[in-house]
Amino acid sequence: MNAAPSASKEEKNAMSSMETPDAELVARVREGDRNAFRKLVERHRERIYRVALGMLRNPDDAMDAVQEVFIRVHGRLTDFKGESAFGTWLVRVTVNYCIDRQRRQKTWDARFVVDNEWEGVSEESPEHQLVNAQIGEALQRALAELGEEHRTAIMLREVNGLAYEEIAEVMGCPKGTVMSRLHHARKKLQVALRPFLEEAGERDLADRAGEGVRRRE
Amino acid sequence: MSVLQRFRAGLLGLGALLVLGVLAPAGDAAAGEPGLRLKVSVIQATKEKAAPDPALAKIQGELQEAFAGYQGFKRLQAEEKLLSSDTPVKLELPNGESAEFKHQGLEKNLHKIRFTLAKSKVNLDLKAPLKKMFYQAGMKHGGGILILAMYLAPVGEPPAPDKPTP
Amino acid sequence: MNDQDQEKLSLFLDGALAPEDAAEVARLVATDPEWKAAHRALKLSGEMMRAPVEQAARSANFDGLWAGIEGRLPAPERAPSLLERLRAFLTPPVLVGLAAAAAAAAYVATRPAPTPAPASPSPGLAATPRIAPAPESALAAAPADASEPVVIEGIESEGSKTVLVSQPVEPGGTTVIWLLDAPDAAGDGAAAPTTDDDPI
Repeated sequence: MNAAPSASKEEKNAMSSMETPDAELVARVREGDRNAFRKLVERHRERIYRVALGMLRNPDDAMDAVQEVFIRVHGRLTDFKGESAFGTWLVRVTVNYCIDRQRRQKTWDARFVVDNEWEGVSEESPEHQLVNAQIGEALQRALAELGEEHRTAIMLREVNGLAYEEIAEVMGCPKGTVMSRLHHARKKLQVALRPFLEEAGERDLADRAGEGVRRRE
Repeated sequence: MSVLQRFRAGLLGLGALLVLGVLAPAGDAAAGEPGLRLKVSVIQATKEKAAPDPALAKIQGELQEAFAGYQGFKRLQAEEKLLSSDTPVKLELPNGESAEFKHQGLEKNLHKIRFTLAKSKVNLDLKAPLKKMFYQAGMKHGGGILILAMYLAPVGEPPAPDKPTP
Repeated sequence: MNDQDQEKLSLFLDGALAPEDAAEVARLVATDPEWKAAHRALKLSGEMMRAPVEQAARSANFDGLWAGIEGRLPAPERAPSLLERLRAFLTPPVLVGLAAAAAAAAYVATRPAPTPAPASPSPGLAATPRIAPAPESALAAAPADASEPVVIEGIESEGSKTVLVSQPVEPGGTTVIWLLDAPDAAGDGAAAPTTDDDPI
């Protein structure tokens, strides 16, 4: 299964710069080695930030989440049995933290899905910008209307590039459930976006999507 | 360089490093006594060698000498408080401890200070001259210990020079 | 497109279809307008979810992150023992003064309330290079000169901490007020030395 570009690049970087395996660092942290924990933080912070950002939709909240997650993780290292990769366990803790936080906030802020600062948008024609804004709004509504589990699954897949197996581990459900959730979420998103594609410059929008795909390759 | 020279260098260096705010006279100063500022740098010392903290460059030598078993020094906080005999001033430390300082008057040109570490239930009564650096150390923090580098200066004293006295 | 087609398209986007199924979906996406539109919509939604996150992540600043985390971590379970800290602090020439220092530590730890100290240090303690029992040794009337030591007048320690004061012998030396954990039942720091390396 393909991984999204950002994640695979990150993972490659992490692997290439990885001097000490996560498991060894975890063992050292358990023995009270603060520097080992710092290495883990520095190694995984960007990925955790992206996961938190995808779910919380606010850069400040996401940075808070990164801090909170690592503090929680430090306190719960005894819970980490090593059955999954440390990075996957970390994402699981992050997702749970973000879901808790979203529940406390009661609403899901989808404004971050698309904004006018998106690189390249400002260089587009006014028509393109209008279409993007309309699609962005439709996407926001569709994501906000998704259930928490479906939204989490689609964000982990589309934004963070997690594989089905990883999403299953993170969400604590079978792989088949993940596939089903993704299918359900995509169906809703597709229904929400199709009218815009059909009514407002399908060809140009399709080209944009195609460019995006090529950029990732 | 003699110990005295090193001390002077460190003292002046710390003075340059600490935040110098414009503080209105209050407490003792308002009562006609000279106002008194307490400057505190909160430093984390670890046994692992670490890159020198630029914020501590001027007192690195003194720290290494006074805390010979530690190789890493990092400044976590720099505070400046106006001491008063009316109410203790409080300083929250990164390990959750709370340090309090209260000016208790002047005796033979030495300033009497009540220094309290609330959670540790320790009170110290000390007398210190102006511009004399002294340290409190030993509280655990972050895999090392905390060092409080403290010294007293009169209100209105100009900032210490940037470079230590040779 | 029926529901099964939608699911197939979802798997196609994730690269999770078998090669022959993937080839069939690719053909449909290229030739069937309905498949084409659905495919484009899903591609675009993914892009639009991802782009702002990528952009924000690129400008994320993690400079203060570790300090924020470390400041809230609990202290390590096993801190350096009293002996370890004393070993770290002391240098070989100080060994001669260790007995006096230990006596000072015991004195200040058990002292119930601030007590005025004698007017002058004892000659023996004054000869101690770096550690001296401060309450007694430091009380000579000091002029307000920065080269004079800080005077510790009294120490109250109601908790489990031991206070040990290191006073300078040389003018301009450094005064350090050590706050150490009291020796515990396991003998951490309090037990008599058992190795040749122990300074006490």
